[in-house]
Parts: sequence; structure tokens; C-alpha cells
Amino acid sequence: MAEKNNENYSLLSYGESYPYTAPKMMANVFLALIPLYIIGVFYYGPRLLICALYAIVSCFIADAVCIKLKRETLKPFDVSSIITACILTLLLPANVPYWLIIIASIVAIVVAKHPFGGFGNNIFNPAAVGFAFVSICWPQKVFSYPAPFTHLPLNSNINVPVFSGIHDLLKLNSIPTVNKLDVLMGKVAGPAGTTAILVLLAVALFLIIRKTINWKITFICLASCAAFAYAFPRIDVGRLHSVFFELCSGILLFGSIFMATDPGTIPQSKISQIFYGFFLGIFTMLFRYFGSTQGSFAFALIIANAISPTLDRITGITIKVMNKTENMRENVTAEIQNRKKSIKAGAEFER
Amino acid sequence: MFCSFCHQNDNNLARKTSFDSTRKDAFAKAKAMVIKMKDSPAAKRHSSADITVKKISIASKNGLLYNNPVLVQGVALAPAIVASTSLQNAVALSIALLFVMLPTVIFASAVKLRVEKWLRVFLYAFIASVFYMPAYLAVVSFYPQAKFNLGVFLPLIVISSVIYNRCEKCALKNNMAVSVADALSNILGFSFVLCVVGSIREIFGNGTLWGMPFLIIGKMPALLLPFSGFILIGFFAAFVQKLLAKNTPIATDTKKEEPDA
Repeated sequence: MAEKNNENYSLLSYGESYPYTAPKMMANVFLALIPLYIIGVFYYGPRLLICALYAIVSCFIADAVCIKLKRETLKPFDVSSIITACILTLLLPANVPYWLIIIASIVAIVVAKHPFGGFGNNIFNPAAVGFAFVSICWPQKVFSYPAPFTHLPLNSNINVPVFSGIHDLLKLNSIPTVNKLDVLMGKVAGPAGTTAILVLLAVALFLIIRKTINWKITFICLASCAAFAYAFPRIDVGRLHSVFFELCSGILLFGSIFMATDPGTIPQSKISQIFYGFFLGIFTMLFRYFGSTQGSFAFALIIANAISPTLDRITGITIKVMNKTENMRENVTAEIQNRKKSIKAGAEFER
Repeated sequence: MFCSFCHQNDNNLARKTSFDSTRKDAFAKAKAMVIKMKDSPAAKRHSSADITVKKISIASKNGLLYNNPVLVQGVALAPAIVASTSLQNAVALSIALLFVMLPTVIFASAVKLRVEKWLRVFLYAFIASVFYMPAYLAVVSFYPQAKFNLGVFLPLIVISSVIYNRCEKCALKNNMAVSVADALSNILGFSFVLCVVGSIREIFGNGTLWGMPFLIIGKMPALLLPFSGFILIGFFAAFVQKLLAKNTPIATDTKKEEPDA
């Protein structure tokens, strides 16, 4: 599979260790992020674009420095760090100070991505790690959101009236008094890019049709979350209301589309992918119900990423580990050839 | 042979009869070896005193950086990661290790325990636990909140794997001067790493240094959690590996170069 695709994209090929058709996938993700940025700018003004610019610049510089330290060369079309920056910006509220974005992107690249081998080899999603770090350090800045259509000045530290998101209200067992159409349109206080549910669903459909993301993981994660919310509702209005608000709050939908399907971090076999999505959903709901911090999905994703190789091993597939490094793969192929030769020799000897 | 006490076939009884003769042979062989070694030109060039001095110099270098207990050997990681959240904690843990480890190593090198390995570890733990009380008093004398801030990690120093590692690998095979130098260098290396990591975490996580306000730009409380200890120790170890990449590491656990005459 990988070799075929490398022949097709020989100009853009990154070698066999990288996820196949990586440039095409990254281009699709960029196309999918554009509508989210458009609706974010529509609700929160041009400050979001400046936040994104800060994140992109700091991520790119950190990436270049790490690659330089590793004595490798920066590959053409390697925009994975920029994708990380774009996702990270959409997870945070639009009134977040700029230094917080810079710290989050540096943590994402330096701690989560490059110590494990860089692009294609990272075991944790970099954006999730950066978001988790800043959400532990400054929860009052990360989880207090401005209302849509408020004028946000372009300074670093700004004082605007802030509100708590829907997931905070659910945590307090209070019924959100927002219109459901507003929730679907994203006209509620929340992270910059994760509130517009209808846009997110359209983007998810686009990514699934272009075969960029693994629909199984997204679908099963959301389904297990919905089942959990249906079985144990936190609000007394009704079970379906509980399901609706749990799925539409926080960064769950955005994260399950863009972050949980990161091709480097998901397990390889189909059965273990199903288990991965299931565990991701259950961990998310457990963090929401019993966790002391608010960044539920990011922590659940980090745990699920950590168990994904184990899931592969349990289901008996270690292909991913072999694909990780080219040297190991060459060794394995050489071993297989040697064994074949020895088997042939043995068969001839027996005759 | 059949043992009349336990009514079983005892193989050891058969072995005991031939034990004395084999032992005599072994002694004779060892004596011949020693005589040969003494006559050889290599032994004349390096007398035993020279070898001891050389070993001491190697041992005192090794523990600091080349064979650092935390960064290279990877023992005593629990206090380095979880408990080193401030400079006071780091200094307290280092002093506790000094008070516990030094007598244990001296004992292990003075009385070279000729018992089985599993029993030896228990004996080391027993000796180290005897010296925990002076260590605790010394720590509390300058840092009264140690009991609350360090929690279980202060008494856990007694069963820290640095002590057993050094007792087994160095003190059991060398004389007292070499093993004390080795233990001191290991304690210094441990305290160096803990102080660096602890002061970084205290300055940037809590905005203080030794309990005093220091450099308040912004706090990052995540640095006080254990996961950032893992990250910091990992980066520190990688940095040290990068520094040592050019220098070939010296053989740390000094072999017996000369049999004890």
C-alpha cells in the first residue's frame, strides 16, 4: 500500500516511514480548517487570525530549531507543525493572551513531537499536549470564553466580559438556557473554532469523503459518548437533551474529527481502532463526570494515545512498529528473505 | 548418600567429603597466581597503592557525570521526579541520602558480606534504616516542614536503589577508600541533579527560591506536577548524553585488577 502511493507521489514522498500520501492529507486538513477560521473570524473578529499567526510562527521556529538540533534537513512541504498551530488556536478562546499561545505551541512541538522522532513518529498528539499543559497552568484563562460578536481589541492582555462554556454548566448540574439552534450555529460562548456544530459536521463529511480521516474512530468515539450521556444524564430535562448538550459542548466534536484521527497516533488494525474510539469516548465522559480539571477531551486523548500500541499488540498486529523506522523495516525484510532462503535450502536438503 | 536426619538423599553430604581437597587445590592455584602477578612487570609498574589512587580518581569522577545515578544509571528516579519540587526538598533529600548511604557503604566495604545476594539486600536495608533517624533529625533541624512537604519520599531514601547499586557493584569488590570516594561522588551527582531540577521547578512553578519570592514573571503550576518532573529529567539526561557523546565513558564498576593477597 505504502509503496504504491509513494510511486504516485514520488515528488512529494517522505520515505516509507511517513504516513503515505502525507502532503495530500495535510492539504485536505488545511482545506477543512479554512471554514472554521472563516466562522471564527465572523464571530470574534480579526484577533483570531493574529493568534493563529503567533502560533504558526512559534511552532515553525520551534520545529526548525528541533530539526536543526537533530542534524536533519527541513523537508519541503513539511507543514505538520503549521497544522498543529492552526488546531491549537481553534481550541483556545479568542481573547487568550498571545504569550499563552506561544507557550502552548512550544510545549506541543518541543515536548510532544520531537523527542519521539518528529513528524509521523509522535505517539501523542502535539496539539492535545500543548492544550493540556496550558489548561493545567492557567485554567481561568483557557476556560473563560467571550460572547460572540464582542469587540476584541488586538492587545495581548484584554479585559472583556467572559462566560463559562456549556460543559462547565453541565459540570454544575445546571441546565443550559441557550437556544438549540444557536448551539448548532455556534452562537454561544466557547472555544474559537469548536462551537459551530453544523460547520464541523460538514467539514467531517468532506474529510471522510476525501478519505483523510478514519471515520470509524470519530463515529465510535461520539457514539460511546452519546451512549454514556444517555445512560447517565447529568441534567434532569431528559436523556436526549443530555446527549445533545454533551456532544455539542467543549472540544469533543472538533477533537474527535481533527485530533483523534492523527494518523501517527491511531492503532493500525481495524479491531483495535474500534476499541480505541470506544476507550476515547469513555475516558472523555469519565473525565467530564469525575475529573477535577476541565480539559477533559485532551487528557482522554493523551491516555488513549498511550494505549494505542498496546491495543495493536493485543490484537496481534505489530506492523506499525515495524513501519516506524526504515532501518528496522530493512532488517525485517532481510530477515524474511534469509528465512525463505534457509527454508528453501532446508527443503532441498531434505529431498 | 542417605541422610539419617531428614531421611532423604542428600547430595551435599557427598559433596562435603570432597570439599577439603578441592579447596586446598584452589588455594594452591590462587597462591601461584599471586606469585606470578607479583613477579610480572605489569604488577611492578603499578603497585597496589598506585592502583588504589587511580581507582579513587576514577570513582570520584564517575558518579558526578559519567555514571550519574539519576541521569545515566537511572536509579533513584522516584525522589528526583516526584519530590524535587523545590530547592529545599532537593537539599533535604541529598542530606538524607548522605547520612544513610555513607555508613552503609562503609559497612559494606568493611564487612564484605559473604552471604547470598537476596539476603545481602535485606541486610543493607537493615543497616540503612538504622541510620534513618539521624538523617531525619539533621533534615528537620534546618527544614522543619520536611515531613509534610516530602511525605513518604524521605523514608523511602532508605530503600533507594542507589545504595544497593553502589554497595553491590563497588563496595563489595573494593577497599574502603575507593568505595567511600565512589559513594561521595554518587551522592554529589544525585544532589546536583536534584538541586538543578528542584530550583527550576520552584522558580518557574511557584515563583520562589528557598522559600523567598524570586523572579515573579508568571507561574506555571504544571511544573509542580510529576509529569513535568519526567519531562525535565528526560531533557536533562539527553543533554548530558549529548555532552558525553564525544568522550568515551570510562569503565565504571572497577573490576578486581589484583586479587586480594
